[in-house]
Amino acid sequence: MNNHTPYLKVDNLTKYYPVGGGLFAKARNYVRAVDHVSFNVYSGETVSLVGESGSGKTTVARLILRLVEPTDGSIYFDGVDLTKLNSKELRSIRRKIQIIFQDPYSSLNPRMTVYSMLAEVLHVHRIVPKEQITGHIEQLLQLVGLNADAMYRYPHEFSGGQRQRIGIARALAVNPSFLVADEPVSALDVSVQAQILNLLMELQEKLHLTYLIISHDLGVVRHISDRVLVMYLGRIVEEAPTETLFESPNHPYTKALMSAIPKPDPSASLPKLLARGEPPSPVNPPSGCSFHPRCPYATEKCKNESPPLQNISDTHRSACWVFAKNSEDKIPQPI
Amino acid sequence: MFRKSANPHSYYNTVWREFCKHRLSLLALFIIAMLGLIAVMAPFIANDIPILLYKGGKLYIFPNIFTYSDLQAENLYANFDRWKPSSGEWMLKPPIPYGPLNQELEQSLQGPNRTHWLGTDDRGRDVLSRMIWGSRLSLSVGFVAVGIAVIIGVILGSLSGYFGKWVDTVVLRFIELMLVIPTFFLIITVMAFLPPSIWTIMIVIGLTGWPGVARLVRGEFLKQKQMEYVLASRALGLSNSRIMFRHILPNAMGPVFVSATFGLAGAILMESGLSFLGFGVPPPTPSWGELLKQSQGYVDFAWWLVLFPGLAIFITVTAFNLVGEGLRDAMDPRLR
Repeated sequence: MNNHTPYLKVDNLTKYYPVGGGLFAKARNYVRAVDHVSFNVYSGETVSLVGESGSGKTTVARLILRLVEPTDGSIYFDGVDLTKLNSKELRSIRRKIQIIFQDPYSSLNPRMTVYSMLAEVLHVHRIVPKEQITGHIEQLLQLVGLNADAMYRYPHEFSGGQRQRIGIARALAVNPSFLVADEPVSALDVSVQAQILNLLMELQEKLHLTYLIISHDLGVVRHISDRVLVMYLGRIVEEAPTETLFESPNHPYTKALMSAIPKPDPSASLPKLLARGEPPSPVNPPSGCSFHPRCPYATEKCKNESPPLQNISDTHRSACWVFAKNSEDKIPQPI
Repeated sequence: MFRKSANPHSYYNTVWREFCKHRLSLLALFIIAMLGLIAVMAPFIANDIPILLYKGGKLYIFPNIFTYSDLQAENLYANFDRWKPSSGEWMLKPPIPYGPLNQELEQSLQGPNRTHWLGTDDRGRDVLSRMIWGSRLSLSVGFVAVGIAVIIGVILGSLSGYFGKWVDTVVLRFIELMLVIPTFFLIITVMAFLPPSIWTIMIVIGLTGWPGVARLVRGEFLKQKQMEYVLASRALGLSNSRIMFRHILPNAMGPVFVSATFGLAGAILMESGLSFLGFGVPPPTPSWGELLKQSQGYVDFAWWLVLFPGLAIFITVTAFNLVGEGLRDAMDPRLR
């Protein structure tokens, strides 16, 4: 693993969705779904992107896959700027970056058998010669823990977990090296979640995959990731190795998230509600630090100036005026 | 390459089971099937040309559908209604031994009787025979016109829904433009300028029928486009045409079938209306609307000229509408 050149480098990635307006009218406003997001993913690691609903996680995933066109910014994959590729160049990149979707019920075409789904991909990308397609599909299904006879069945004949395995097989059909998983287990039963997560980790080892996992489930994130990025209202507020983040979160938002993890101990005291109120609308984000209306530590500076990501250590960065610079001994009390 | 498994739980099997629960729709489907059969078999049901003919020591099989050059040479095809076999010769005629164009002037304007079951018209032509041959015309107008409308509607609707942006704007404006013009009067105007033929009617009805289909397909595409399987296909680098027609379209066709069924009824009615007003098929070709038009001068006493073709139109249109309704209910999962 080379820690100096990132495998995927996201630089100032921005996506604004226009609100209102029409063919001739200008948009009245914008939803800032992703607002100047930068991060790196190194080869072979698992990076998680966490945040609550509406924080822009899924948009980041779709931007990386170029399913959504960015408003601004670049995405470098293996040194190539994905945002500048034409459709032909994009097709070859699509063999290297693949995505797994959240909803195993809508992510498979209900009118196609598993065979026709996978065969189509193998055929279009000429992964294997025609006469080897059936054999290759068998291998793919075995790889994700399904029987070969699953091939001729339709999606509705499978359970949620099995469908997610088919979705993974489809993504793996083109032999990708980078896999974006958009909430890969949040639609599944808890018992099945563990199986799918273990499968993902097994596959990573076997096929030397690099993962970017989008999730709102901190338990899942802690289980599988090497590093974590915390997103709030379209921005990254904290970035740290998993253990550091869970042991000593810096940003008040991260702390609020941590305190919301349910503890398996009924006698444990109720979590402190660190974040007040609802997340604000991304159409009109608050001035300064977008978390300040909900933050118990917010100062005058937080209301007016947007905090940049600052280094706390080599691997730990946080975007907070109050905590990111303060040393441990001067922790301010909640207001 | 893509093998299909026979599957008792597949979508269309479920729809069929649901459809069978609607007795009335099932009956309507049966009526349509019978009508289709009658239309296809018309030369064997109502014809003056025999099914089998033994003449001059030679057996002619199906002279009603094949043209034999020696019979043609004797000019027999135009005169079968008057031809009588001499000794040693015989022929087997269809159950209704009258062609749709055979005139027997001395038999004109007879009410329903034993030889002419549904009576004769002002030129002594058998009404039943003309209705049977008319069903061919009316049904094929319906199917061809709806086929044209569906093809145009599906193509424009898919493009509009899939690509969005300016494509969508252009197609939508075009649809609205078509919808503000009263179709029937547009067709009458166009037919007034074009040579009257069955093909012009089919094409003109088809060319005005697509906006509804296009809107339906556009709506389905907008819905399906957001589904993750479409995103997955795009992420896998499949081409737009493959995603549109192999992935989305099969999932979007359900409502189109329903609207096509209603469209069939509409097209049949439209053709009848046009023929009734004299903009339809040129006489003497029989179509149900044309039969009604001919009856105009005799309404006060020759009731059979009005009732039977009118009933045929009514039953057919109702049957198609009932099938459409049954199909719509069977495809709607909320009604299960």
